[in-house]
Amino acid sequence: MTDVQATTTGVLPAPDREPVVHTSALTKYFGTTAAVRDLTFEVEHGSITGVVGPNGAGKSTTFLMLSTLLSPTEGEMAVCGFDPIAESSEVRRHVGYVPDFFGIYDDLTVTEYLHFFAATYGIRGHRREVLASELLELVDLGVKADSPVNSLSRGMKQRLCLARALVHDPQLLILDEPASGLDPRARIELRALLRELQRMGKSILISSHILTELEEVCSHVAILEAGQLVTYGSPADLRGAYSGLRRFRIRVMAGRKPMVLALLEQREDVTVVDDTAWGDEVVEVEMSGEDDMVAALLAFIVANGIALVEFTELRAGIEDIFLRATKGTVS
Amino acid sequence: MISNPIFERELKERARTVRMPVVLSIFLLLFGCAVWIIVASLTSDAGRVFGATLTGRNLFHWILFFLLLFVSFITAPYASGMIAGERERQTLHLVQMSGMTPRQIVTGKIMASLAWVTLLVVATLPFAAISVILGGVTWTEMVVGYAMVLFCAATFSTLCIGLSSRMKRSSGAAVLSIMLVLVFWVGTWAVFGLAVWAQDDFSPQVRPTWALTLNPLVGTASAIQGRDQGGTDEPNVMRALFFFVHTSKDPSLGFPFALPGQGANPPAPGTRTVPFWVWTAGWYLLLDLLAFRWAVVGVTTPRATFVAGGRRRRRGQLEEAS
Repeated sequence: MTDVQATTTGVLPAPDREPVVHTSALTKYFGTTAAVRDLTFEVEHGSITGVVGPNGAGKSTTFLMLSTLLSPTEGEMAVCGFDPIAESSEVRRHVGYVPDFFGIYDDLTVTEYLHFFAATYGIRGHRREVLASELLELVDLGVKADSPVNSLSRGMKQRLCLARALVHDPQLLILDEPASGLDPRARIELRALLRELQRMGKSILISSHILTELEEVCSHVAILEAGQLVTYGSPADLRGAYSGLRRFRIRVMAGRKPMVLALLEQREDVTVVDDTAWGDEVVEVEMSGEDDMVAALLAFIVANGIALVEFTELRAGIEDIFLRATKGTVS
Repeated sequence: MISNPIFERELKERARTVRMPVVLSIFLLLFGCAVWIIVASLTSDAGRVFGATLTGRNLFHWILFFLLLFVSFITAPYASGMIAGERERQTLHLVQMSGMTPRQIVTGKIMASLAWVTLLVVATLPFAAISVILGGVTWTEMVVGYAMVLFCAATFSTLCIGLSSRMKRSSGAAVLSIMLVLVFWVGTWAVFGLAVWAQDDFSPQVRPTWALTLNPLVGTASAIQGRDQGGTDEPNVMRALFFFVHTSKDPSLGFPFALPGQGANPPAPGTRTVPFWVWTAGWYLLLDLLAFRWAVVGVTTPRATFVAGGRRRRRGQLEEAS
């Protein structure tokens, strides 16, 4: 994973297994508007791939096409080795789709809701009872098994929808904005659930506006803008590709900040970033270069008698990468 | 067939809503009022002025008329919300993504709609039983009459489900469904009138009754009157329609709308005739099949919207680039 380079084609080098999702020059026009243009990317088995982009970037359209609910105008795609157009029933057997809305039947109970979708896959009788029970335990809704669906909170409904998408044990989960509108606790629970599903061997394709959510769970991130793939790669690689200068936080003992600033002024490879904003003990600096240069800077400060409390590299988050990678345009 | 998950879910959901018992109660109340008015008018002096008396046959015909009228206009908006409603509450994508084929989805919807229609129709059987008690109606006539009503209502349901598969809003679908039923009830008469006007001949012998083969009431009248072997000639709507249609053609011309063996309309020797209601049933069956197919296509995803040759062109470009 570490040798993967951030790329704007989204095709990762020679995976061990056939990718669970593969798109090639995928394009979707609504009238004359291109919702998705020349989208080429792959999703590895067992990965959690986040799709990030502003509204109108083409995330939901891409998910609909991969879920067999929308046909592309041009291009090719394969999901779990099947063509979503020609082999839609095969794709549906391997994909669990959670749209960006709940899609629930208010007059059913939680268990009946799962029973209904299980029955659509021919799962009946005792097997269905056991399956529903296990899924409700997995999404922590066991205590709500007999409650009407319309009595559930937003977070619970989202977890129920996730359980619904799992009734046929799909290989790939496509989740469109699953964290939208959830409170912090529900988001944390959702993240934990996604990790659990990944441990169970599921591949997950997820979109979200809450970029920090994705950062914590995603093994790969694709950034879309105006229907096009801007960049794709692991968060670490994207960080390396887009962060440019490395930023460090230096915390010293109280009253030593002027001494540090004076020292740093002597070094041409270091730029102090707005030292007034960080109080009397903290300095943030930017520098380029590899780890040996960072070690040299640290040694330089210590050698000059400055007692350090903290010397930390501030890693660029997905939000930073997103802002640097995109221009704010929509389709 | 019975173990259709959509059908099971629809039944479960409908049984839990307040809407179903309320609609059923209002339907029975209105229907009961209509029957009461008929009975009251047939037994009043004013009724007798027109020569009508309370007989089982007379009552049965009026019951069928109101049953067909009410059921047509209740089932149509109900059926029209079946798929549009799923789309509206954003569950259609989930059903389409499930293990069910579009054909199974539509079949489940039609079965649920038919169950509702059957409930409405069966609920009126006690009223029809009154006509049997009064005499003049055979059980066969009752079965044929009710079967025809069910068939007409089932056709309207299927057509409205087809309509529903193309609509985004259930309210819009309901309005269109009412208009669709009006086309059958009123539009057919309008076409008939236009045809009469166009041929510029108002004589009963050349009435363009083909325009009425899609009319549910005329078809039902034909079905039950075809079995009327010596009943009374009390005036009522069904009897009037029957005679309107079946005395309109000269059977010697071989026009197939005559009923064999009817005193008012004896077939010419050697003439092959097809009962009028068979034409109605035939048209409706054809419409059922077309509407079913239309609905199946309406819920099929993904729709083939590729630009002609687009994929091949794109593949060619990719190969060229590589």
